[in-house]
Amino acid sequence: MNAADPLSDERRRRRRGRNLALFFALLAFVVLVYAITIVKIGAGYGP
Amino acid sequence: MTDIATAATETRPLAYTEPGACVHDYIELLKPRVMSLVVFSGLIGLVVAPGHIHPLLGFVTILCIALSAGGCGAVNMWYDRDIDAVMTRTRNRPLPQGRIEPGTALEFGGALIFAAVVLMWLAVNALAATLLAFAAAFYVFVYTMGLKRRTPQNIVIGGAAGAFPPIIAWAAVTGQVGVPSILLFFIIFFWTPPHFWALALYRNEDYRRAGVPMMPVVKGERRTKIEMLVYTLILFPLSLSPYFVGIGGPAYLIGAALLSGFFIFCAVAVLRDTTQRAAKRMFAYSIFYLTLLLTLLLAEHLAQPFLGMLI
Repeated sequence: MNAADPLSDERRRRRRGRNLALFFALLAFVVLVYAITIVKIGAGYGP
Repeated sequence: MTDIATAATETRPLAYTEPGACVHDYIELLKPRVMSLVVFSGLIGLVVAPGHIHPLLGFVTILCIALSAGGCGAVNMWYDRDIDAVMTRTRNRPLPQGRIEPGTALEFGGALIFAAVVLMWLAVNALAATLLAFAAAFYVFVYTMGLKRRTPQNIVIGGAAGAFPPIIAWAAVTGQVGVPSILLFFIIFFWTPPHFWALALYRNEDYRRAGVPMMPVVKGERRTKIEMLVYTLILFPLSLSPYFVGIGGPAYLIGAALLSGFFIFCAVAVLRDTTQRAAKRMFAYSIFYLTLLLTLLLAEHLAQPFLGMLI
């Protein structure tokens, strides 16, 4: 984080990128499962 | 195998190094270029299959095929990290460079394959999910762990894994495995050896150094070139077969004949060439060939309703 440790900034930047990617991937998965459920209900699947 | 591992360790450190991986490194683990062709061939299976699938479920089918293929790529990179470090073509991958820990790559790949199969099962159908799981298991256990380092027939038999997407997509739409999808499988299956051996011919030294028994390394260039020609000859009638089972029209038939004819011409050129130029050209053409062949099927199928209105 400080000037004496320039690697730290890069590490934090990369970790933030990974966390954001994981967040959006999980969000997309939740939206997808919701949409699939709506389609399945609409098509009359299930018991 | 031990020699390879030793050579790899001496060439580059395999230990995880700071500052860690960025998102792009994880995308690289998925082998996006391989994935794109797998996705495209799956899309063709989905489009030409008789019947209807809800667009969202069609999208999920393609997504699951892509995720599974990507997961297989990550597991492959985990297993092959020692030879990847030795080969020029692969030594900059995230694992040999120490940007991602091996265990993380394995978990990432395994999780993707598992998620893809479960999602396919829940959203589409059990047959498509079973075929997807089988293709992934075949790629990881039969090709990567079993054949790749043992036999020059590695990519011939292993190529089956990459040929599965049209069958999986067809099963997603129809709930069964149809003859046309099996023909698409065989087109990709017989396309794979000339495609990879063209690459292996001009990367021969790379494979030799890594100890991967590719055909040119084990049997020599001449034998490889003859077999490449044989595969392109088998591919010619196979590539025309979609016309005869009703998933390709006259435009496809003419296009496939021209494309496959030129593929044979490329194989003959490789056979007669003493440099590596023809092999490089054939490798590039092989990608163009399969892409255009499948595009013809897709375009013709999509154009059918409009043609029907005109006639």
